[in-house]
Amino acid sequence: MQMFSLEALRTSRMARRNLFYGVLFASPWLLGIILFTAYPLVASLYYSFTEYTVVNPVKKFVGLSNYTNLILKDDVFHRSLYNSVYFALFSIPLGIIVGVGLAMMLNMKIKGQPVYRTIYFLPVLIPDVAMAILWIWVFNAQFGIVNTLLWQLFGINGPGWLASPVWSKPTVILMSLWTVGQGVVIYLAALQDVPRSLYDAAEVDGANALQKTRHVTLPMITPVIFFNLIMGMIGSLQYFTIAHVITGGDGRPGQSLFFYAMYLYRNAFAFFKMGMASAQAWILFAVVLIATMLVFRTSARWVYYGGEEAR
Amino acid sequence: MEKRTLNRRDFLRLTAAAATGAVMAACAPAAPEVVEKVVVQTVEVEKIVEKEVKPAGALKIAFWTPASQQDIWGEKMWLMTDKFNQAHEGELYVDYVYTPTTAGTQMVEKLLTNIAAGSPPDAAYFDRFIVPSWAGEGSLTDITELANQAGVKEDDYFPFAWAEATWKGRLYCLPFDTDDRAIYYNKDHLEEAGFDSDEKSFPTSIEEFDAMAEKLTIKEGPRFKRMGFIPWSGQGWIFSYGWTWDGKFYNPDTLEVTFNDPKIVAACEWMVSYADKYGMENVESFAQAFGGEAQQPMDAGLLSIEYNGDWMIAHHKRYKPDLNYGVVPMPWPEGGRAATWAGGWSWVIPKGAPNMEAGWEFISFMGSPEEVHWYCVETSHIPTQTAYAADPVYTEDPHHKVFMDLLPIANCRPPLPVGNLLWNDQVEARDLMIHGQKTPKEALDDVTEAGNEAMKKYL
Repeated sequence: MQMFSLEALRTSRMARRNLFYGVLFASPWLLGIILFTAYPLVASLYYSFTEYTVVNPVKKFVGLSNYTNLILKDDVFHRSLYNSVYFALFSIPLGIIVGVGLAMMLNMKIKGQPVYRTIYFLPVLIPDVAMAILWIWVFNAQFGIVNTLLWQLFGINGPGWLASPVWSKPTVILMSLWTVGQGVVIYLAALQDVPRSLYDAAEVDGANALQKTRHVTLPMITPVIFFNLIMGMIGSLQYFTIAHVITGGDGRPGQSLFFYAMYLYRNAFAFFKMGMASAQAWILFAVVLIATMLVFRTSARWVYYGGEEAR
Repeated sequence: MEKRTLNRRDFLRLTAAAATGAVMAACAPAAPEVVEKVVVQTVEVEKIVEKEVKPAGALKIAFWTPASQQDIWGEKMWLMTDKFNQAHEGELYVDYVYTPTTAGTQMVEKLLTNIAAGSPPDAAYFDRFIVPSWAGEGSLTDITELANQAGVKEDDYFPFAWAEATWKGRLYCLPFDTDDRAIYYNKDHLEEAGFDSDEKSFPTSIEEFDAMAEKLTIKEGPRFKRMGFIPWSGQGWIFSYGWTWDGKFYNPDTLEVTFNDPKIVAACEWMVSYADKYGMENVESFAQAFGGEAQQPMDAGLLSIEYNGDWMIAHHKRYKPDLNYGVVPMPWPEGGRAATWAGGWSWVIPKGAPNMEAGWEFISFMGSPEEVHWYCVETSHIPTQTAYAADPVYTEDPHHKVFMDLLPIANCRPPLPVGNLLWNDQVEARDLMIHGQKTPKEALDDVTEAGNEAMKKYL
């Protein structure tokens, strides 16, 4: 089959025909990505420099004022960013630690291993909204199962959980640990890939289980941890659905559950400040981009890709 | 003999054909029963009618309301809608759709998004005080001409109701009902605690009131079993106490927003004192047991005193008819006064509604004095039409008489184009104050600043 090349395009009719058919077959996808991804992206960048209510089709150009108002003057913006960063900062490491720990336990050859693996994965399948409503009742300070058990079994007067501005974020982070099964499945796959020979060599050197974990297992699965770290960062900075359902949209109590994406949503669809919401979206993009680049930059130091020559 | 196996090419062809057939079958629209041509004003509209949903040949009027049929107000509204449907059987059919309000605001984000997208319903139930805000944004249809033709007059209504219904001299909604607020208290709880439960003996000073609330509070170890009073439950908004402390929320001459009036700050400091005295964490945990309907705190015996609206009379009648309660105006501090504020809802036709005339037909029925009167009696609200509000049925119930007596001095929320913004901000401010994240002065200063900033473009 003739390979496509730029020179060939100029000279060969067949190459040009190949190009034409290639583009034709890719056109549905191209059309979709232009209409539904590229255009909204560019439009939102444009809107972020305007004041636009959508109800009123006029887009009043205001330059960078949306950005400066948000970053310098809007303390709700700061609080929502703090909430999202707090959530990301705690839920990702916890998720990784619990995920890797669970994966290592689920990797042991015991009876019923597939059953246990399934059980730990099941919560991932539950829709976010149903899960939020379930957790509202589990963590209800008066009637919920958690406080009832704490009182009856340990005599502890449980905190307000989702009703307390201090406890609400930790509660939400705990809730996010319930769906750690998604990461566990990926870690399990990585654990299978660790060469048996390395463990044998370590045993010969007299390593115990903890040392084997620290010096063989963990370094070999760092690529997967790296992947989950990046994905977790991108996802948790955009955390929205569950908090929105629990608080009805306003992040109560005391805006402690008012995450960045919730503020964006409220600006866009409740207050019709579409320009400001678009600016918020692009600020979030910048934040996630910088965070991801930082993690990539430091990754060479701790991520080990087997198959590369040691540097 | 050659084996007739399916080679790959044929298999692929067969699969493609089957898949295409399935997709086409799924995408085919439901067979249209009747195609109806309706002339609405100067716009010709073609409607395809779904037979199982409504009578064939009838024009469907989409009606969105935040009143769920599970609640008393939604149930009564639905009965009124049904009455309209029966009266117009064969020609018009109103499709009642429940759309909840966004938390912390009084507006329906689904409705406003649809108006912005150009596909709104034909009629909607809209909180009246936010009409100026949304009319100013161009979200509502100007119904001045339609109202004039139907004989709707400004003089028929309470002045505050008409003021909220208009924007720059044009009418944007049909006022529906109004209401006001006062203190409900559980007479049995008062008697248990050794107080005289008669309305005339109820304290009128805020200091005595606070002491009474404290005596009514029962704790079991560190937990609350019952609370005397929680300022931020029911209708305990910043507006409620601001007016009781005789504060002014805006200057009607200069249209300046003055939420940080020292008297309003004092009122909020009183409200926050309850959070400090009882421990916000414990109160919040306790309040998580509150719910709606039969779990309403007074009905569930969890709260002895609550600041709430007159519609709770109908609520208590339905969910706890044996509740022995009294109604009195909110006690006030020195320099304050017996105050209340009136709200209420209205009927609007969203901008860009496909069937404007049919929508008007519906809302003029729902907003007609007789229907309003029926609704208000059933749900213990008050009509906005003064002639009907004077009907003795509203003072028959001794509890409701208290509300009717307060109505002449009732305040109403600033009818400014930033009215909706101010409401949302004061909800947020109250939340931040009681959780100690901002002092009352700081929070109110912020609301004032934001309000005046937003007002600039209207002045």
